[in-house]
Amino acid sequence: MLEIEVTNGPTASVVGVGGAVDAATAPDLLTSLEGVMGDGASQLVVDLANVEYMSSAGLRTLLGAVKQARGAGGDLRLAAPQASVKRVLDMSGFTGILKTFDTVEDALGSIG
Amino acid sequence: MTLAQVSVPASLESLSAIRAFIEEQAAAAGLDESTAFGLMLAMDEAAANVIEHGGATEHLEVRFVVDGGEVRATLVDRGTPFDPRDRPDVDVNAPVEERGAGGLGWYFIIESVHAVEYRTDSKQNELTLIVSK
Repeated sequence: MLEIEVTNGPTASVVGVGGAVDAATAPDLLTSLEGVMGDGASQLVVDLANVEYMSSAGLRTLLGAVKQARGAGGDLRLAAPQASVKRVLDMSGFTGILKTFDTVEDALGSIG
Repeated sequence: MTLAQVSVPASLESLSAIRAFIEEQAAAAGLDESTAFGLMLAMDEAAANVIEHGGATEHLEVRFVVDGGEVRATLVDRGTPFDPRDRPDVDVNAPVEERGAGGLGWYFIIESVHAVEYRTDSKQNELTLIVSK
């Protein structure tokens, strides 16, 4: 089970995730991200500070969500990935396609 | 040579137990953190594949063998065989519009360990992930 907390702010919706995002739990993340976008948000920041592990299933979920957000004129940014998550982001080339920041504040500050 | 084995239901809910087993065995074998993580990631991806795409049923076995300077972690399943050589290509440098959903699991498996072996017979499939200590 993932712990997911959504905070809707004036600049973006911050989706805080906790736990391990693998093939079993990635659907929870997808449901949450789709829900936030379904409510009209197109600027998302996914706070990964409490995500201790992410496999390709998590990355696929983020890929689908960022395409949807950008299609709606917004974007999806990542914040505070732990070292193990940074490793899979780097290996997959996702650091080249998803803006990643050290903190949620930095991510929010980059939204123009 | 040391061997440890665990048997888990062939369901996605078993992935965390598989990762914990690999992590524990890797630490006991004295693998460095980076190698241990790579092995754990690869086994997680392999198990997810056989469950989601291979129709694996009943149980999966995960074997961990330490033989001198080599660690061999084997996933045994009874689903549809899939030869790693048939895996789809992934271009990790492609822009987001061209990135598809497929192939990333296999990419991680191949990139995270030192060698991969696969064999299959009429009864079961065995994917072995190999790292050096």
